[in-house]
Amino acid sequence: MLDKKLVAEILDEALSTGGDFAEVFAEDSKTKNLLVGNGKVESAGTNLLRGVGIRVFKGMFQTYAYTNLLDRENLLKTADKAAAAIAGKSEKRIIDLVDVAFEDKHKIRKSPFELERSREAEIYCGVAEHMAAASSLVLRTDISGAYKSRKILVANSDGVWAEDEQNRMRIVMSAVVGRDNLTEQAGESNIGGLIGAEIFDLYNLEEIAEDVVRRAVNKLDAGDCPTGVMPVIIGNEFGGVIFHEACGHSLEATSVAPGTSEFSGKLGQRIASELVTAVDDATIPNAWGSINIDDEGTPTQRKVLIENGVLKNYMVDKFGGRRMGMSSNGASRRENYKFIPTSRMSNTLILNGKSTEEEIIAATPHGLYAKKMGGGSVHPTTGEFNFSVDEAYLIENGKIGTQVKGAKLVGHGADILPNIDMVGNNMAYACGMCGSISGSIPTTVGQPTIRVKELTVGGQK
Amino acid sequence: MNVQKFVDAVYAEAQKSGADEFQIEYAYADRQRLELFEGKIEKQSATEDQSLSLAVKKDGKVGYCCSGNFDEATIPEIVKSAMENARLIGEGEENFFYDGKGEYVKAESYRPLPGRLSALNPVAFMQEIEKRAYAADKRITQVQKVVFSQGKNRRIMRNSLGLDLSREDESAGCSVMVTAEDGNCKEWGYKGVAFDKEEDFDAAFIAGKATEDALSRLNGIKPESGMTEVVFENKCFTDILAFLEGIASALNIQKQKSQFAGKIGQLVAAPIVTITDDSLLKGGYATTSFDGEGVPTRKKDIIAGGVLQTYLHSLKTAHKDGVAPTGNGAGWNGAVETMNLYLQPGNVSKQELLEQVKDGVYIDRLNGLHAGFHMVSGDFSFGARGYLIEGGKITRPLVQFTVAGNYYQLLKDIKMIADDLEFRTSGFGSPTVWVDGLTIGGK
Repeated sequence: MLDKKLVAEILDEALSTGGDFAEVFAEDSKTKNLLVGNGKVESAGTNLLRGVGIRVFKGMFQTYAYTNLLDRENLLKTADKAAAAIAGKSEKRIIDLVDVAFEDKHKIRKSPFELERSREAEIYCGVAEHMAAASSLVLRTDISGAYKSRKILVANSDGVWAEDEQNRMRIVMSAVVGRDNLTEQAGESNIGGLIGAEIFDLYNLEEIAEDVVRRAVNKLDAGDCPTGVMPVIIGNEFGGVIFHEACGHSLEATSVAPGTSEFSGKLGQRIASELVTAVDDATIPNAWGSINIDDEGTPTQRKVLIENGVLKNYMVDKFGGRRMGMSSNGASRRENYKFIPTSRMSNTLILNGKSTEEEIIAATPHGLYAKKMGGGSVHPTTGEFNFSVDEAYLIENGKIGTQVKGAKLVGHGADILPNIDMVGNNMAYACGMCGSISGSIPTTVGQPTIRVKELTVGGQK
Repeated sequence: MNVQKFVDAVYAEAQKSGADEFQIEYAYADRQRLELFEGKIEKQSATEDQSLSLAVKKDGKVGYCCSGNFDEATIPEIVKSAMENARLIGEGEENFFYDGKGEYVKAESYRPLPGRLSALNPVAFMQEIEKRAYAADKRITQVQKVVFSQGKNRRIMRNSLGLDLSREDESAGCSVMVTAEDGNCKEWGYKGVAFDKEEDFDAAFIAGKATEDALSRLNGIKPESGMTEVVFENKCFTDILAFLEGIASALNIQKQKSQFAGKIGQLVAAPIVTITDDSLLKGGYATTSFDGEGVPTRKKDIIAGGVLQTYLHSLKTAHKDGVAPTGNGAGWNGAVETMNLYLQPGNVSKQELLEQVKDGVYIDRLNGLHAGFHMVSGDFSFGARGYLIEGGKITRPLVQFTVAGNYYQLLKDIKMIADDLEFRTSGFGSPTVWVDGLTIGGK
């Protein structure tokens, strides 16, 4: 993207006013997407992005400037803009940029850019036909596919030169069904990864599509969810969003470093039930939230966040780490060059326990079984979270009972963790998009089925 | 190659491509942002952003390519991608460009008070806010951050039918977030301003609002679960109102995703409800004389006296329905957007409204909005914060509860509307609203 000599010159310019660290981040990405609505291509788009962000640190001060005009003159001007806010004298040093060595753990097998898009459209149209045929109640189907290739280069005044290419592909589908005056919708967004066109060999799209229709139809018969405090069993896979929101965000340096997080200063302390061991692992081969190096050029790692209930680690980036007295653990990410990178999650999972899902349900006289979670959010200051449940059932006498709709779970992250009293052995993970101050990034959530002793459930009844 | 030359080169390449029609949009944004923590600027950014979007039409179908890559060598790829995308579109998905021949009304949109910002020292102003927030009360334990930002935007749109439009605007803002603690209880408070009112230049005012917000929430209780009278704070109700953008979207209606299908001329809300989309509102945050497709905008009621008046149309959806576009095109494949959307105020004061409610729940923050709302069924369940209403007065703070109902029913269950219309910088506005029949999930 840029040559080493020019980058060294930019770094030098960025440090000209006395900064103690400078970084150049260059990105060149290409995204293609297709939307098939009711079996017809309704929209097709291409998005090209290329730009450079320049960052300078001086102690606990950071400045940032970016541009997408990449000629030498403009890049140096951008470096000056970043440097301008620091009014000091340059301490000249020689920057020797050396390639960071890392193993590519996420090789793709087939480039999606080599797949004919008309062929891709045919596949989605075929799946749409299958969906429409699955039930006479289907009113509308949507299938969208997107792939993105993202080339990044990170170089900094510590001599780091790191380049990587991230290829991601994802397919999302949904169905609207109706009967009498009722309409419902269900979807599936868990088809994706740091993978290429092999996605079509790895997943049986028709089977998944049928399941989407079945779930939408079942919702038509669901009753209103009761309201109140009760035991809640949270299913595996996307159920992990609860840990991501209720706990994960509060373990990011962004809120830990300034002391805002409820988990600030609690390393080594018991914060969760001893049944809980959780990791953030960016190294899982080809997983949706995986990356070889982070957006500061640091190779990623598997971080044990909580071990048997005890807080062990945080997500740390370079700048947050300065305030915390910790070094980066490869957790710094950004949507693109327009954002200042900061500590974020990758693949965040609660690891397996010993119970089977059947045992957990049988051990629960009454409560809510949140089989499929929807999205949620958290406020890191108070740790207060909220989640929607997409597919929920009442538990009656240790058995799965009536399906209910419109369930919402609310509570405090710090309260839920000690209250996890059963952990299953069926860990699975799912794709998601996580939004925060450095933009929207792909992350994986995951867990086995777990039980929370009590949670506030908000429904319409 | 400078940007003007680049745009011209894309235009020339598109002319050669065999496209029947084409349209180019160029957007430029220039922003400065400062973030203060513990008396010092911790983050500072100066950014320049440009993007170009090409839409080509071939045999009635439109394909897009959006590029933030201004490398000259990319030009053929931009045009080729857009053409390839047009060819992929299925039958019956005809889309259109606008020729710019309609009448554009000059609109005065939001801008920071003229001359005032240049006289302001942002760093000193932010330090003053932080200082005043700490001084407000000893229970204010942290000023999490103070943010100041300022920017300029420019947008150019032109096409092969003769459309040639441009727009420039500027914006500025300042916000502060604080933490209040009392024993084990921790709460946050926030205030943001857009420098378009005199009070926005008063550091004490900003600090006061944020600290009051946090302090008033300390030591909250959970409300009782069940059905109760619910009052939404004016700005908070804009979160609810904003869903109308999707529900009244002709695109969603054509896709059978909204229950407003076939309801024009019918009662869809309480008779006291009139909801207006005023693209030309003086000083409005979303005021514009043309929409994302270059179509002239106008003021219109979406719901008047409870009766649905119109859907929101782009060129594509209007053609499908055989009606005129409403100036709500978002500029992408038939999608629509509202401009300044607001609920018309009633004629009672907020205080009078609360007195009539007597006892209930007052909600001033909603969260989990996106995940908690199902447009197709209308069912929603949100996390909420607020206060108890006891004897017509706002009393104790409430924590950790949910509010649930059905959107289509909520519109009909609006019982009273106060006279305190206020806008958010998102362009949505509302007065305080009393709604019947919602379920609160707490204790």
